[in-house]
Parts: sequence; C-alpha cells; structure tokens
Amino acid sequence: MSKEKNFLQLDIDDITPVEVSKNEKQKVIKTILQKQFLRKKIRKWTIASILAIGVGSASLVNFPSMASILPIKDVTLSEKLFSKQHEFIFNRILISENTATIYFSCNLDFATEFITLDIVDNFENYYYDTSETSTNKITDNYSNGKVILNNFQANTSSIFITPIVHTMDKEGNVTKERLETIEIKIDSNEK
Amino acid sequence: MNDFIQRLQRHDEKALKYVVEHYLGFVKAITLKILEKPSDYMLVEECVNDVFLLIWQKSNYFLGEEADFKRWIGMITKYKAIDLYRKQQKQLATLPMENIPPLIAPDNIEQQLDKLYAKEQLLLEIMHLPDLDRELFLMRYYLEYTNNEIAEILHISKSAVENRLYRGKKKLAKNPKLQECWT
Repeated sequence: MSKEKNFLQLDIDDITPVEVSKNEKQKVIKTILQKQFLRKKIRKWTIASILAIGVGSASLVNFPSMASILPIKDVTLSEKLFSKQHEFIFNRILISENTATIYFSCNLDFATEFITLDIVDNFENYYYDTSETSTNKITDNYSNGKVILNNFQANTSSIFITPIVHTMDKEGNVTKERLETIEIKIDSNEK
Repeated sequence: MNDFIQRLQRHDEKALKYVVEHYLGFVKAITLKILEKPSDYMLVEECVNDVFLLIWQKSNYFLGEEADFKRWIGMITKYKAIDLYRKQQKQLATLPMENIPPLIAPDNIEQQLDKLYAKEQLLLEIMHLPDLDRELFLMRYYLEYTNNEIAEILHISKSAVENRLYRGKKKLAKNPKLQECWT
C-alpha cells in the first residue's frame, strides 16, 4: 500500500519526459492504428473466428497454433469469390493431423476494413471457436492471410466458407457485407 | 500543429503522429515511475499503447486547451499505470502456479472487453470532474479502493471520505453514464 500511496501522490507536473527513439514512436503509432479495430464490440463467435486485417500481431486473439509441421495433404486451390467491391482467392489448403490451414488473398482497405470467415465443413462442423487467423498486409488494399482450423477431420471432403467484410466509418459504426458462400472441394483439388 | 486537438478528434492520423511525437516521452516517464521494474517492460509497453489508443479513440472526451491536454494525458497515464500495477500485484499475491488459468478463452473475451470498455468510459467521465473530486472518485470507482483505504491514503477519516463521495454523487446525479457506473 505504501508504494501505491507514493504513486497516487505523484505530481505529473513534475515529470520530466524520457528520451524515446524514432523507432519507438513509429512502433506505437503502428500499434495504435492496427489495434483500433479490436476495441469495437464484436459478437462472440466473430471474435473467435476473427480475421482482422492488420491485427495479426495483436495479442488479444492469440490462440495457440496447433498446426503440425508434417502435412498429410497439400492441396492447391484457385477458388475465387467476387462481389461488387471485393475479391477473394483461396490459394491453398494444408492438412495436418487434426488441423487444416487455408491460405488466401483478398483486396480490402487496410485502414477501414476487416473480415471474418464463417466456416463449416461437410460434416456440419462449425469452426467458430477453434480457428486462428492472421493476415499480412501486402499493400494498403491487398492482403494475404491464413486461417487455421483446429480439430479438423482428415476425411473432410468439402469446406464451405462465407467471408463477411466489416467496414468501419470514422465514428466506429460498422456495416457488414456478407459475401456468397464458396465451396472448397478438397479431394478433387489434391495434387 | 496548432489545431492538433481538433484534428485528433476528427481522427486525422497526422494528429496522432504529432501527439505520439510530442507526448510519448512524457507518457513513458509517468509509466516508468509506476511500473518501474525492468521485468515489467512488457507492462510498460502495454500501458503506453493503451493510453495512446484511448486518446486516439476517445479524444472527443477532452474539453480544454492545449495546456490542459498534457495534464489530461498525464492523469490518464497515471491512473492506468496504477490500475495495471494493482492488477499485477493481485495476480502475484493470489495465483499459485498450479492455479494459473488457461489462455484467454473465447467465451469470456466479450465479457472482458465489456468490462474494459466500461472501465475506460468511467475513467474518461471522471476526468471531467472538478480537481477536488476527481482523484477521490478515481480512487473509489476506477481503482476500486475501499473507503477505508482511501481514508488511509488521504489521511482523512472514513466518514469524511463517505461525505465527500456522497456530496460529489449528488452534484453529478445528472450524468446518467456515471450513475450507471456506481449503482
């Protein structure tokens, strides 16, 4: 308690700023701009399956990756999904024991948009609470990403993915665009 | 940049860069005074990021001139850092290794976020109070000290704390957001 007393009596007018490097300042700015989307209220399942453009490094949604380093099936994909404003290309699915990793590319406005993926397989397993996702910004309007599905059944033949684009305005209001559902057939694409 | 506060309130990224450029050293200095151990470096970083994120998203809560802005940031930093310090101390005191909870579970993320938002909202609302009441209310409702603890810290009697809180709350009865927080 005595330490806390000292802290509470700290007079901020007497504080002398410390030196900070240019890199440190840039890191803070980058973190703030990336984290801002996470501070909005998003439905529970959406948080669990979040694929947040630009927040891949944020620690809030940091489920442990269970992807094995030894894939048992490596499937090249070329499934494309278009809407008026958005384009998704699902490039590859890597299936390991109990996990599947789906790789994709998409054109999203890095500053204002992020997506969530609604994923179900042919056994009607919903991957809303076990998937880890991350994306890498390629340009301001283009990103590569991946989503890891845990507890994935190796004999799954199809996955149905519905991307939902969340667009945020300056006031933090979010509008959602639910894209069409795309079916990814795993066996027929296997190489 | 003369109009950085207005620009910040319009979410102009240049204003954010200006604020980080000019106030990061100040925010970090306050944070280091409170979370000072080298092992707490991650906590220092978390606190600094939280402060700037709050400023970036909620700068419209700030009412005043540039000179007041520095004090506003300073107060937010001080109380956020003390809050983090207290949380850390509680964890160290009450969590033996075998009882450490699992990594954050999806089911309680939303609950935790709600709690975080409510607490930050409270911090910003209390920042609008007059100087005299502000620290007392921050101690009671943001840091969640008991009236006894506040009395000990401020070297006043418990009944004096209760009286001041009671009078303060009466004055603030018109603020529905604050009412929600302490009922």
